[in-house]
Amino acid sequence: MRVLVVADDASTARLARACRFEGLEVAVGPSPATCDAETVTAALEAEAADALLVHGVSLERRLELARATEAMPTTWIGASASCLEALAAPSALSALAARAGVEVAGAPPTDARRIEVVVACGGHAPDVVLGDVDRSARRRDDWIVEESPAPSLDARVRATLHSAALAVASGVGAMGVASIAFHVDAAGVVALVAVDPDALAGHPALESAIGIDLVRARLRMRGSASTDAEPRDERHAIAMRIHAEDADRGFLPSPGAIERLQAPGGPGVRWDAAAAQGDAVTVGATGLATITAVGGDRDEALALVNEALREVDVRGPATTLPLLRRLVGDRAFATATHAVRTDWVESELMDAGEPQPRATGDALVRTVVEVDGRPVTLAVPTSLLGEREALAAIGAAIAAHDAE
Amino acid sequence: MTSIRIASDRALLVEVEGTALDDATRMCDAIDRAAIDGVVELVPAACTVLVRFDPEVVEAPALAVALAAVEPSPASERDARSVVLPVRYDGDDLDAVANALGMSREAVVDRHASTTWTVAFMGFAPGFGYLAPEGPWPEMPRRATPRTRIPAGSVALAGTFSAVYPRASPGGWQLIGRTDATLWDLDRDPVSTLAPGVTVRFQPSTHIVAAPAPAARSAIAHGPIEVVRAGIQLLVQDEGRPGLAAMGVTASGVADRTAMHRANAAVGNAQEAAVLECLGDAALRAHAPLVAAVSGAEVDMSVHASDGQRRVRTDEPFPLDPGDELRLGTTTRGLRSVVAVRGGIAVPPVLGSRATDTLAGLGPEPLAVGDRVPVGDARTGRPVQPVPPSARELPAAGDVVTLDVVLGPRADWLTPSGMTTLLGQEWLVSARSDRVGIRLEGAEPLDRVDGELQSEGAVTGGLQVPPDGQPVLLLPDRPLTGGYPVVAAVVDGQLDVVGQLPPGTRVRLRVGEGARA
Repeated sequence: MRVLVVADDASTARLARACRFEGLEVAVGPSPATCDAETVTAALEAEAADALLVHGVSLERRLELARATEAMPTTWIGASASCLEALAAPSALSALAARAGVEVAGAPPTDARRIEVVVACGGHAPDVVLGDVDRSARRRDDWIVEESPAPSLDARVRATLHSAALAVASGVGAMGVASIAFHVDAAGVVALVAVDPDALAGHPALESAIGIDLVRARLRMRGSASTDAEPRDERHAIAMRIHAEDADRGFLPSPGAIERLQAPGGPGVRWDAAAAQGDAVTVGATGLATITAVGGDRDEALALVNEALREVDVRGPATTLPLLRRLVGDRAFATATHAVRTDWVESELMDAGEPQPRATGDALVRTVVEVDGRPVTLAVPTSLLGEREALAAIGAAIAAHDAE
Repeated sequence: MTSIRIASDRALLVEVEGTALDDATRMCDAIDRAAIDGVVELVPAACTVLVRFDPEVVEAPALAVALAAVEPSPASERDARSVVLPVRYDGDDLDAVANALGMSREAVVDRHASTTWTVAFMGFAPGFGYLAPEGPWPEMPRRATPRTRIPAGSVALAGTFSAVYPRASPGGWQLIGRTDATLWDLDRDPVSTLAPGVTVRFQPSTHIVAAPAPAARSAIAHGPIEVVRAGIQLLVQDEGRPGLAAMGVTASGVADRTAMHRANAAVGNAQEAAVLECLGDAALRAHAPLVAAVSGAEVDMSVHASDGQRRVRTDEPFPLDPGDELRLGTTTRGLRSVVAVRGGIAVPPVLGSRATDTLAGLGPEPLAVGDRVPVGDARTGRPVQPVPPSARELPAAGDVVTLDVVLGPRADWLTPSGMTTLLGQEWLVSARSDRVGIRLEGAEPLDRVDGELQSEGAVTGGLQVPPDGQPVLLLPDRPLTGGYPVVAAVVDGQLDVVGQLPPGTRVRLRVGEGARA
């Protein structure tokens, strides 16, 4: 079987690896930004692919693609069109919350934790909770720290979360690996926030804690095979995302060339790169890498991630490393009581340190243009030039190339 | 009996039909006490009360019904303070006034000082009260040519009113004396000596030698933003001072609110944090690490640093390091740029706002080269917003912009042909425009009824028609009350565009859907 993968660059590498491990061929599809049904159908034909795997694409777009593949001999590896349709309904969340016996989250509460429960939903085998993750440390409502299992979580609350997640997953007819997000407030009240029926490449801490590659588990569920996704390990893992943003300037993106990107090493440390040395950071793509440290218990994971943060070295753009180093040593995060809430990073840690000097190097954006049917890569400095000048520079470079 | 007129899509004008000078103030009291939901501000004047409202809370027809049911209070129950102001009766116009009234100087002084005056309403300038006499008082015409500068403390007459100028300003009233009483002091409670209902007696005195010294406006000297170039005008602005009509204070505030909200959102400020409003090619140098964003006009702009020059795009946050200089260049669309800095511009607030009201002289002085503007705490709790919202299309010189208006409150001051001209022809935004108003020029002047209108509350976006028939479109620093008839008002949703009309733009006025009375 040949799988067309539609995902951003960093996730594509991760998904392709899992496909190859499962004995599948891989073709790289269009970018998630331009993956309408027409483009994807053309790519499937051009690549002679007979299966489609998408990641990091909006619910509406996934629904469009799921419907398009229904009329084709293509295998759609993802939640069914009917499941996506049910989730797209305006009252979907409140109906699912009612079914699961929990509240629906309104405006983001400030005194809540965000905990996600990942569920494997097979055809014949009973659904199973793979684990839970704490994603309370966030900026711009996106996680920067993921921890699994969720630390210092009351046993009754955990039981409520797990049974609610199973009820939501079956209520929506999920097939695969689904992630159900909840808020848990100070009083232990649970509210449903979001449902992702295709949680593929986004849970590094959970994967490390339970010893399962979620993408491979999902690929093995094609057709109606049994889930084969029982957790293997009971370890503790902490994942941290590093961004080219200055957290002491309100997480301001720091576009520019990455002059150096040195990964940490050693047992128990996983490094998922989202960019490489020499790449350019752009305002829309600031992710550099995710570090995941796994240990026998939380203290061991903390020690490993602390050391890993010390080893990472990034030159060029401003990064969130100073903030992550503060975070990992902060009492609210490091102590057993674990007082991290969804507003904690932005209200307590952000802008609490010295801003980093803005990037001084010139940003180079690599653009591939086609000249006489051959792709030519051009590097264009954007920070020095406006769009118009950049286009003119591309034109001049093509003219020079033609003249050779 | 009262009649109610439409003043804009967010204001009604209650016209009080009475003869006593406090009829309007008694009506204003009664409306205030009725506490009608959605009423935002009341601006009483000689014969009218302007009622500004929030259309999301109450709709105009329902509000009009509620207002029509309000009976004026039997007696004014407002500020019952009485003040005595010492006056040295040596005004430059005292002889002229005596001649006009056929009285001696001494008789004029005696009559002025023996009359009890009551503040009927506030207007013209902060702390300026229109004092109505108890009992009959002869009508006194204004000077044919207004003075460009009247000293603070001047005691004056016009119509049947007396007044004291709280600060030096231009004016057309007849000057009969001066007082050293300070009528407006931001460090005092109440700030304004006068308020509607306060009674005033003037006490002849010979000791007064000097007018009250104007309070010094605080210097802007220690902040991290240095003004390298101020362009045509560089001001601190925010949402202004709404709700202070009783002190004679206009709301003022930023001319393009959307630009302020966008720039503040980009840097992670609260949407109403104070910003810099720039007209022309300003340049600002950072003396600390900052995050800034520029919204509003389409401007060619860049950051000049020791290691080169970077382009800056509208609505996008960018860093400034010490020594970096943000330079605004040629404006291609719109008129005013808004610069937000993470933490907000932190000049000391005046009456709850940091905005400069250019007409009233409230808030900081317009910024000048060398000023060092202070910035607030960057710990706003909100991250920056790196991806800008979709761009707005602002007008450029030569474009024709259609503005939706609501007719009223004095549309009946236009003849039928005047109304045809108003809505039929194109109006040129002239260069004689500022934050007080835009002078519109049309081939055909508006044909209007002759006459004198008593001062009444005005609205931003109002189209005021002076006797020459060339209308003025009122901007945020407009006077609180005005004596020229306002024949229409641009709807609130288009006031941001009004604040961005560059000279040379042509304007067409259209009566919006459902906007006709």
